Amino acid sequence: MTNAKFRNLFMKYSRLLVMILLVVFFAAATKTFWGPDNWGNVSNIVLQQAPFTILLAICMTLVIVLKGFDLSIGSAVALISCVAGMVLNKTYNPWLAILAALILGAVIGIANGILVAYVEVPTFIVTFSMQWILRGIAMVLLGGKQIYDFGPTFRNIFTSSRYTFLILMAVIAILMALLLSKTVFGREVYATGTNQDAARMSGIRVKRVYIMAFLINGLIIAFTSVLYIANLGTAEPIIGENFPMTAIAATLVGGTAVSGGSGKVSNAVIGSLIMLVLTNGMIHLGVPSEWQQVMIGAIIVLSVVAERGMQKISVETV
Amino acid sequence: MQNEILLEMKNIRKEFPGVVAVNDVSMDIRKGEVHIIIGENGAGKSTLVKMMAGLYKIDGGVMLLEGQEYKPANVLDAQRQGVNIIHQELSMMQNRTVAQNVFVGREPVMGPLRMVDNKKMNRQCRELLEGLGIDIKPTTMVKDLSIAQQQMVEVAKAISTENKLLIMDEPTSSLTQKEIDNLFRITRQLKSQGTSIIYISHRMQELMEIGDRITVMRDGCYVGTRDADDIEMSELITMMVGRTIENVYNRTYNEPGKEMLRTEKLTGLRFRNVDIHVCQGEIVGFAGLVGAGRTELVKAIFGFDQAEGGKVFLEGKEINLSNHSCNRAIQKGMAMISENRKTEGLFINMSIKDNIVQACMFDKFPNGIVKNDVIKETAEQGVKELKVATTSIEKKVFNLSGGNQQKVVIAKWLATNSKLFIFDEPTRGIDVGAKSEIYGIMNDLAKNGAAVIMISSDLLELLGLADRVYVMKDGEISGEVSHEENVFTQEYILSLGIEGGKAVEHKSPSAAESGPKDCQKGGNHAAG
Amino acid sequence: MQQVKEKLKNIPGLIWGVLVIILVFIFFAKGFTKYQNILNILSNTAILLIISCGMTMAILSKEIDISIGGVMSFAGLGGALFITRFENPGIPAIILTFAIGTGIGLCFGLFNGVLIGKYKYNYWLITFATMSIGYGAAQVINGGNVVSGFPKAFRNVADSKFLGIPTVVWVALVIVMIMLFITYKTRFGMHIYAVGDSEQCASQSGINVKKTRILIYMLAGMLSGFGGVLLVAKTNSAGPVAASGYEWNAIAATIIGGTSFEGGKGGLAGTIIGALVMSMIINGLQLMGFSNYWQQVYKGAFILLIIVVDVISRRKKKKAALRRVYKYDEC
Repeated sequence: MTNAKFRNLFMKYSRLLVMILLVVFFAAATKTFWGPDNWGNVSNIVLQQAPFTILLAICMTLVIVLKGFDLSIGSAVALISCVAGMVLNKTYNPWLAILAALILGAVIGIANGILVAYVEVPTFIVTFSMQWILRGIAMVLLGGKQIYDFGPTFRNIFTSSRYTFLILMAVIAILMALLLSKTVFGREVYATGTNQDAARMSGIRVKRVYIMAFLINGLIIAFTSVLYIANLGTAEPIIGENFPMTAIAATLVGGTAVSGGSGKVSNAVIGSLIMLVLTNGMIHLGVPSEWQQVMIGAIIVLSVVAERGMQKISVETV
Repeated sequence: MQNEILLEMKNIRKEFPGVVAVNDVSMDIRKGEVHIIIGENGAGKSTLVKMMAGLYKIDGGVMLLEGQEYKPANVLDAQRQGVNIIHQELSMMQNRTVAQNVFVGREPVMGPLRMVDNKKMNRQCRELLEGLGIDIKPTTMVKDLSIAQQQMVEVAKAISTENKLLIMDEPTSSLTQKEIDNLFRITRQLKSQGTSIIYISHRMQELMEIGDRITVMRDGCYVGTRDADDIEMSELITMMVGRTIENVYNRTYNEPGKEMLRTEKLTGLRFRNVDIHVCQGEIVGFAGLVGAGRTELVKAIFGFDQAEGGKVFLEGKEINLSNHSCNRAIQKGMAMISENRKTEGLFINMSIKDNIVQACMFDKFPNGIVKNDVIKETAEQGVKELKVATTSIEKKVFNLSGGNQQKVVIAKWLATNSKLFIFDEPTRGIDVGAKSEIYGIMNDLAKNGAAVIMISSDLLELLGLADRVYVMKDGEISGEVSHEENVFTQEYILSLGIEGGKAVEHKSPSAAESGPKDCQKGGNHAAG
Repeated sequence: MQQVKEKLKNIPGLIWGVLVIILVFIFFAKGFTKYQNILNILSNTAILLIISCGMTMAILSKEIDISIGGVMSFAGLGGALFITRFENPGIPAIILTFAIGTGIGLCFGLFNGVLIGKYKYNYWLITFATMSIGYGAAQVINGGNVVSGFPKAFRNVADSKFLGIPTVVWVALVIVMIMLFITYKTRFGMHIYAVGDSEQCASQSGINVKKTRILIYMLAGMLSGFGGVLLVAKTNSAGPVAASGYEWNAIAATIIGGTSFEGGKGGLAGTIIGALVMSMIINGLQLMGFSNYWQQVYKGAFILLIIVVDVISRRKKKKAALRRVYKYDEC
């Protein structure tokens, strides 16, 4: 019994352990990753990269809990960034740009949601076709150009403090965690992801759940896009090509199962951190950046294989 | 030859999570006999034959096939050794032709390139079907056949290989009389060729017609084997049930109250022009063949499937069918215990607690914020009320036995404020103990003024519990019998289900006119 | 004869809608019907058709293989790096180049097949991951650079003419003939349909489902690898994202051709038409002067549209079939 308890405890915190081991490994193996006189790299990861990866992984978690995937997040970020950038460029009004971004995000989310819910097309297909369409529109809008001029106030709002991104991310993550664990809607999402027919039989409006989930997804993506251009200082249509891959990898590494119905915000956070430490650490080890894509693909495969292995070992104690 | 033993089973045992499905069964099958296995729902018949056919592995005991140890690794291995099964559930390739289905996996090939010889395949298939007296073209797509015809193709497929032992698991549950006669003819033909046949059935009179020996099972245990020639029906029933029928079905009939549900010419994908009514305090049964449209009917009433025409009234108020959904049905006071417990009734990977609160969340948390103590309380109350055998409400439901799983489903609905309960095959795959508890719950519901609809393929169950039984055939109501009529018998209900009651119509007054059991025409008949 | 009729029946009404689009092209796209343009369409179809064969098998088996574009890019680049070592390659070197590409495809296919067929991992995820690995590996082996300027003898495999028709079309014809034979005339072909129609029925009838699935992914991988090298020979350039988007063109070609996500329904005969239609649409959009960007939007929207139409028409057919079983039509 104690053995089983210990094993489950181990399973629960195994990912945290993996992350700590990775950090220790890279800190020991390279001089530049993290050392007594080198805090810059780690603080850069935590303050500049982690907020974005985590926000995207949270979006992906929401969809994967519903047994789907969202491959359009990269293109959606690109399109929303471009539109927000254009609004800023024209008006210099940051709030108008944020509003435009949120509206566009909501439209994209609802479009995905309706196709998935009413036409019952697999999420993979819907979101991949959507990816083409959205990036195509972004390209048409900007024609391969970039936008730099966002006016005087916009970037100040987000970059006056180094911690703004982290704090905003934390607020959204906490809100999402509460939404998933403390509301009827959250329970509906888990129920629908576990078994759609049983959910419908229990009176859950499955279609509404899908549309709402994609709507929330779209809004978070819109918010992320605004943060993204604030951080980058430019908007261009080619950003975010690797976002879906990275987000899926982060979500799965964090322990969310592709079979649906399980997964938490905390999984997305820890998974994102593992991915960031890994990709960043590899660069410090001197691995060429071209390897990154191969590695992310391999991590996805490994994490689903590992997930099944873990399921076999874990024992139910209650 | 008749007394040579083909398959011998010694102390066979099979366990599923939380339940022993087959317990210490020893029996033998002789060469060239038709051996019938009977028992109530959940007696372990299907599990036993599935072990013979290689679908399940045995957990204990030995099987000997012609004296050699027989341990099939899978269905294919069993088939190679001459044991074949015709399943209760159809598994046919809908978009392929009959011939392609019959010869799948062993298509005849020709030439050095090993091309599939379609001509030969179709010819062989035609010969096979003609030999069996089945009037179906080999090139017809399976999806264009009726369910009964598909069942016959399955039979043909099983027969087309060399079999020592052929197992038929409730083959007649979807067949009409013509096909049943044909099946019996085929059975006799096979028997004369020396093939042994195991036949599982609910229908008593079938047994007498074709069986050589009859084995009775109860609660996963072997009760006894008798020769078909010298056994009385009453003795069989006593063996099956283990007690007299009355004390299992402890039904207290009440005077029916106000009308709860009424349908007028309700039509959907697999049923049409259905007129029924159900009153408070009543248990209304639905009998009929598998595929007669009973499940589809109640699913449409519950809003799971879309109805295509007609009207449904709940407590006299018409339900807007174009805008109907499970959610609305539940808000109006309906509850449905689905026949597919694992796929539609339960979230099999979730805890008991999460399952029980799933349908009452909208009621209990109108502002959308979940309170964990309320959830816990609800779940604990449900577990206590229904005596679910579990150590904790956090336990995942896949670890429970079938009976306890079903109780969790019922607990889910008792946590809502439902007034109309639809039970679809509520006792399928459930041990006898849990079964009588579920009967008790249904009786209590009716006693407390709820209306109960019950679909069952177990006629004894319907006869023991229902106030009235509607019989469906090919999607239409073919008759209605009240428990106060003297035709409230297995034979009459079966004849309504198979023949549409034509053969026996003269015996009974037209069922639809049976006045005494109509509801009190209460004040809330406004919409009618 | 019966079978021919059946196959014709499987070509859906979608084709009629597509015909309208083509008519629009004929009238509004300048030079759409010119001899040179038709040859152009045919040679574009050739490569799409080769890889669509693999996609059709995967979709027939109720799964999908989206690693195709990545595998093509990697295999094409692998072959390209090999052939550029030769000033004047002989026939053996050219054959070896194609063998290398096909071999790379085979490895990817085997990897997909074993994980999906044998261990039953989610096919979306696995092929998505191998797609990424393919594109990534294509970046790695040549540092993200494009290779171009190949020996004439190699390019001739795709880029010369035989009897007035580009050689790439002949190559595709041979391969499609073989694949038609495999899917319609062999036991393995029958088993693809069986597995896609009802996996339970297939395995209970003694079909080795795992082996069938592994073979499907292996064949799909090999065809993608071969197609990748052929694409290099045809375009005279090999880049890390050269074949990006091919998987979606192949899905579109398959679905237009009447093979549906339902599994076990449709076939390669339809895909031939589907691939032709897809090439015409891409070509027509170019001729009508839409920018690359707009083409991308239209293509995405078009693929989404045909899939939605497929799903909806399938749902209707299913209902009709249910009703037929119950003989309500007679009433």
